[in-house]
Amino acid sequence: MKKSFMVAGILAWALWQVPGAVWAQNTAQPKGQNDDILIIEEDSGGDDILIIEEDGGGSVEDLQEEIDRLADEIDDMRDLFGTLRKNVNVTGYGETHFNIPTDERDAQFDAHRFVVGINARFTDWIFLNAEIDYEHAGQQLEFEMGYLDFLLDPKVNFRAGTVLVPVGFLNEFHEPVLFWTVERPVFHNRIIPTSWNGTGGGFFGTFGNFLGGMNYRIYAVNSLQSIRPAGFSTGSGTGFGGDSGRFRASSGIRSGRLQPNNAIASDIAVTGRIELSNLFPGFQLAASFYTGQTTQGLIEEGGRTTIIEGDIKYRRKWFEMNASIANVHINNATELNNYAIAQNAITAGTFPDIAAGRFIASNILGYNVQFGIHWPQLLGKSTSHDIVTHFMYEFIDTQNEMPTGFAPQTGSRGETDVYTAGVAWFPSTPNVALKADYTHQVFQDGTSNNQVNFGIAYMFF
Amino acid sequence: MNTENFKRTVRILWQGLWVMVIVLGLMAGNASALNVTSTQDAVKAAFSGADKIIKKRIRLTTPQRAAIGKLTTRVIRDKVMIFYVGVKGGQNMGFAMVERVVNRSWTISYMVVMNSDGSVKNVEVLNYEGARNWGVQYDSWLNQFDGMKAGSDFRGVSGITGATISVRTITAGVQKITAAYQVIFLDKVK
Repeated sequence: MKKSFMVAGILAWALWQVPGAVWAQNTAQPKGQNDDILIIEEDSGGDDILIIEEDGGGSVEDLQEEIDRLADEIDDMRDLFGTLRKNVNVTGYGETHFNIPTDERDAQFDAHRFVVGINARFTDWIFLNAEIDYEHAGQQLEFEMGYLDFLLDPKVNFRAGTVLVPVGFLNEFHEPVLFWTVERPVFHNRIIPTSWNGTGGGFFGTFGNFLGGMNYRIYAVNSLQSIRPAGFSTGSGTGFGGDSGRFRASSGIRSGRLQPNNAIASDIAVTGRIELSNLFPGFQLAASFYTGQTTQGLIEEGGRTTIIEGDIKYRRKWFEMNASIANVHINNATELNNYAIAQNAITAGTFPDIAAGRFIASNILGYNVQFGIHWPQLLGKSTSHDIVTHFMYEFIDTQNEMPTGFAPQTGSRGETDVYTAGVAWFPSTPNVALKADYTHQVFQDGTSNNQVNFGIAYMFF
Repeated sequence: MNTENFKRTVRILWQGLWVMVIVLGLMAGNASALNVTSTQDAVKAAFSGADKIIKKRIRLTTPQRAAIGKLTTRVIRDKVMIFYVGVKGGQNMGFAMVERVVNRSWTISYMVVMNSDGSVKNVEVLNYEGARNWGVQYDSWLNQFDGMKAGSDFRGVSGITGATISVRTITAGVQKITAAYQVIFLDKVK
């Protein structure tokens, strides 16, 4: 109740702040404008090639009419500053991988992602951002996002639809040319389940020049699903994530994500992020959170799951680094596991991981740190190419703390150290990347695996 | 931490965040320093106090395009570049150029004001659409360009998460404008 008052208050305040509610269209007079200044036009230059044009047919009046009509049409397509524009644009990105494990596992090609985005403008203050994700050669379809932005004031704006959960720096901006490794970092898979969306809405904005520039997002979305019953569906959704959400030992909350195809929404989560984009030159500091009950009314206990995340990014000349840390706390993990055990007893084999003694943790912890060197810049080469060599260490513990009576997983997917080193080449455009890297994973039981990866990545707009 | 304590902590954090959002929101000024609706107004604001402003419409020659391309390591396709020169008491106040480009899906307009020696005096974002390019209008980000000129290493300009394409668009634009100034007015390439 308190919350809804607060939300209403903020909205009222936002509207009070901006009569007219349009921030793209600013009609205020400029500071220091001097209307008496004379602007004199001069033309000069051009190649000295003479082209003589000849026109035939039609009267001068016809021609003038045609010019006026064209001028009107072009004017209609221009913005305030005279730029021609369209109201619907296509964007997108993709990545194809070649994974070569050095053990007995088979090498694989994977057209991992091909994503088509549509951006549309309805008015100067209402925009649509949507993406359809064709994963694994189009065999897995996801509605990655699709939301409306209502731009009210730079400080407070409203967003509604299927949004990307604003946890971590990769989940919302996950185009494959924005990171160097072939695969997304393990941290952004097993700790933060990138790409992770939620359906609902909330507020976002920027606080101008505060601390070098700060922006935030805060949303209420359908929550994760930590448990599910055997034999019947929760929600009527089918297919990937439709009714299959539940937490697991090795992947943490990842399998608890629900695609919004009639997904159950008995529990609502609140999530947000604050970024200090340029705290000092080249340095970004950010923090995110997520909290919501996850049992979706299946048991009395809520199974509240709370993520606290922090990350930094830094670049100075040829040196670049980033680091992230996240802690996931799961309440009522005992009850979640007991429920899964009971359901597995009703229909044996429903949850093979539970049957094998791999249980949901009460706390999950992970962090990573990555360093990169931009070689052309280091060598002082003036070129449009960029070649980055990089190294990353990741600590992943999806069984950081277990509820009383449940032992942590001891096999090859428990606590994991991941080392990744490689090279990414951006050939004269930052929107295309050719990548190669080597990943070495060391598991808690002392076993390890190694994999060589090659990838192509691109982003278009 | 027991469950009750944990819930209480989260609740306090949550309420604290709202208070912070409201307080900071009330404190903060507008991010964009310049409120103008046309190129002419932007240029007049840049040369406040000028007696006159000369609008130089320069049709680039092939050697000029090649020279700018070499300085920027990019292919230059511009046919015409428009520079504004502020004049006060017969003295040159500097040069300004306004670029209007499509950035990802939507347009962004910005102005680069230069001193007579070709160094950047300041860069202003004039207008933009959509919500994905806030970062580039922060003074802390735009101030990085001050003093840069053709030949500076623009790869040193910092990026901003969520505004990657806007950052690249404006950085490339400022580099092109400083290079054009160098080629046309300083090196006097014909």
